[in-house]
Amino acid sequence: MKNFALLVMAVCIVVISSCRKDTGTKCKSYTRVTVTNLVGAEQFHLDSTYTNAAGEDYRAYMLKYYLSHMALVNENGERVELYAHELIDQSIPSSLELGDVEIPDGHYTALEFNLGVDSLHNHSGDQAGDLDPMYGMIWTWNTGYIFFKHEGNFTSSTSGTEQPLIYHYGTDRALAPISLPLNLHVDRNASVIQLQFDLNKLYSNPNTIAFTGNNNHQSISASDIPWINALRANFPGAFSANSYVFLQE
Amino acid sequence: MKKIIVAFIFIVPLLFVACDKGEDEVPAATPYTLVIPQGLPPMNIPSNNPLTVEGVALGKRLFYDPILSANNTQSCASCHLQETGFSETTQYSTGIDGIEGTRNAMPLINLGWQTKFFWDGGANGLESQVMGPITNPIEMHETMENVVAKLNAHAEYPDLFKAAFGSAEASSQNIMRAIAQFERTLISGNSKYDQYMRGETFLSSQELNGLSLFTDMEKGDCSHCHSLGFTFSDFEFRNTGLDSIPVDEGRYLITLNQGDRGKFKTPSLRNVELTAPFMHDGRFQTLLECVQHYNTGFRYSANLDPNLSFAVKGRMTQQEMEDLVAFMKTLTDMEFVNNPEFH
Repeated sequence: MKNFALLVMAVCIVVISSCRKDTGTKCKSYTRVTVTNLVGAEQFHLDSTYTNAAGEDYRAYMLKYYLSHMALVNENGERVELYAHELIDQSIPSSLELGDVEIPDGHYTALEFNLGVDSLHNHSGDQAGDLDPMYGMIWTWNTGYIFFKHEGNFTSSTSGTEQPLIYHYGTDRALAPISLPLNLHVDRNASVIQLQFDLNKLYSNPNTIAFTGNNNHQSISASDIPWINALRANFPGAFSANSYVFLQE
Repeated sequence: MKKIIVAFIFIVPLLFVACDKGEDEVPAATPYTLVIPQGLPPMNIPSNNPLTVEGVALGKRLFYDPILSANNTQSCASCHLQETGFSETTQYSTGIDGIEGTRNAMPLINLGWQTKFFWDGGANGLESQVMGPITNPIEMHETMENVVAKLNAHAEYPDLFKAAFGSAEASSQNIMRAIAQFERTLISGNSKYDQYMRGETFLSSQELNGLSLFTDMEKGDCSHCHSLGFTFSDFEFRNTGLDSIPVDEGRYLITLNQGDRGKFKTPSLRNVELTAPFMHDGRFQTLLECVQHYNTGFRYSANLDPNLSFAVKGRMTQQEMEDLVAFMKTLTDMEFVNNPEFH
């Protein structure tokens, strides 16, 4: 395995070098974003039991969300959009690995994105790619995307019984713009940005969200609005990012 | 270190992919010539979904195919019958699981001039509307994912998708677009009223009296909302005083604005003679009952449409109400309900 990896590295370097020679110009820099769902310090797994800040045990059998207009911002405040709309689905490992994107060389100081789908794209199902209605992340009777979906069970703190949890978070007011600090310097090299999302932080920071008596939200009635506002305030703190650079010359 | 190795494995393929080029050669579908009857304005068709002969034909086939429902028993046409202006004669429609809905199936006429769909306007386009009935648990109770899989496994559909959209792969987007294309061809513009407006026929004196009551702000005052001329609707959302406290909150369910409680989309009156029962909940069986509602029956509430708030109850005589109904029947277009292109 290790030998294979070294071989891969060698091939990379050869390919990159030849690329420079052929074109006579700078090689391109590429980056990609990987997403990891966490609960605290642990990697999140579907159907595993976790405990939230309110002390309730819970499990998720489905965890999906949209990240839109993810962009790198350089020290001059210029944005380089990496991805338009990406559906992150814990059950589909490939959805956690966003594609490679060519970026200009430079020093990037922030990663910006929205949790959710921007209002320009939020009101039509006539869309392809990750916004394809086939993925079941859309309300079909009131056209709009479900930005975040957590379905599972939890143990009620009052009755001690297991109850279903259905959180379907969306509508324009729910769009959460997020900006994370980054220290990424690229100069003709490849990089990886690791984006992490902590489900327990979503339900605790700064607003503690207990599931008991609060376990069914579809974002479509007026009574959902306080819950939307609480989650919207929590989303930015639930994400963190760091970056790695490869093949620096 | 392990992460670095993993990263290299990702990077290698992209170096080769970078040069990859080439798109499928797609034979263009045949443009569909939409005939707009004289008197109707041009239709606004989304630039990303132009009508094609192949697209319309595919949309028609999908419209009539029960493959869109979970147990393959119901099609769009199960509740939208051409002989009644693509509406249904029952008050509510019953879905594949035997569950009855709570609103009357809307007629499908001149949809290409409308921008919001369903009684509450929950769908923002004809394409997006298609998903509603397919996925509604009390209607066709299917998922778009299953529909796509069933169509791709079908003996004939992949070729039809290829002819219409250049790709033999059915997708939710192309399903929506094909059905929307077919629906845009469902144009009614040859009623007795249209012929009268074109100088091809005459209206009876009763019908003419009805027409004048239709626009008379002291009498019928219908044309405020059922705009006279082409669409016979402003397609706005209005509370018409069906209930003081609405059972179905209508537009409010979409916007969550208090002022939208009990508001529903103004339906077109074209072919209204054929689309009974009436109102969003199908509560009225006859046109005369509808006119009686607007003459004396409407109920007051904060959201009642201002045109009705100021209207005098009992402002029309029985004869006038009957004349109004006679005029409404001139909007029946038998060519539309018998058009062989639509079935």
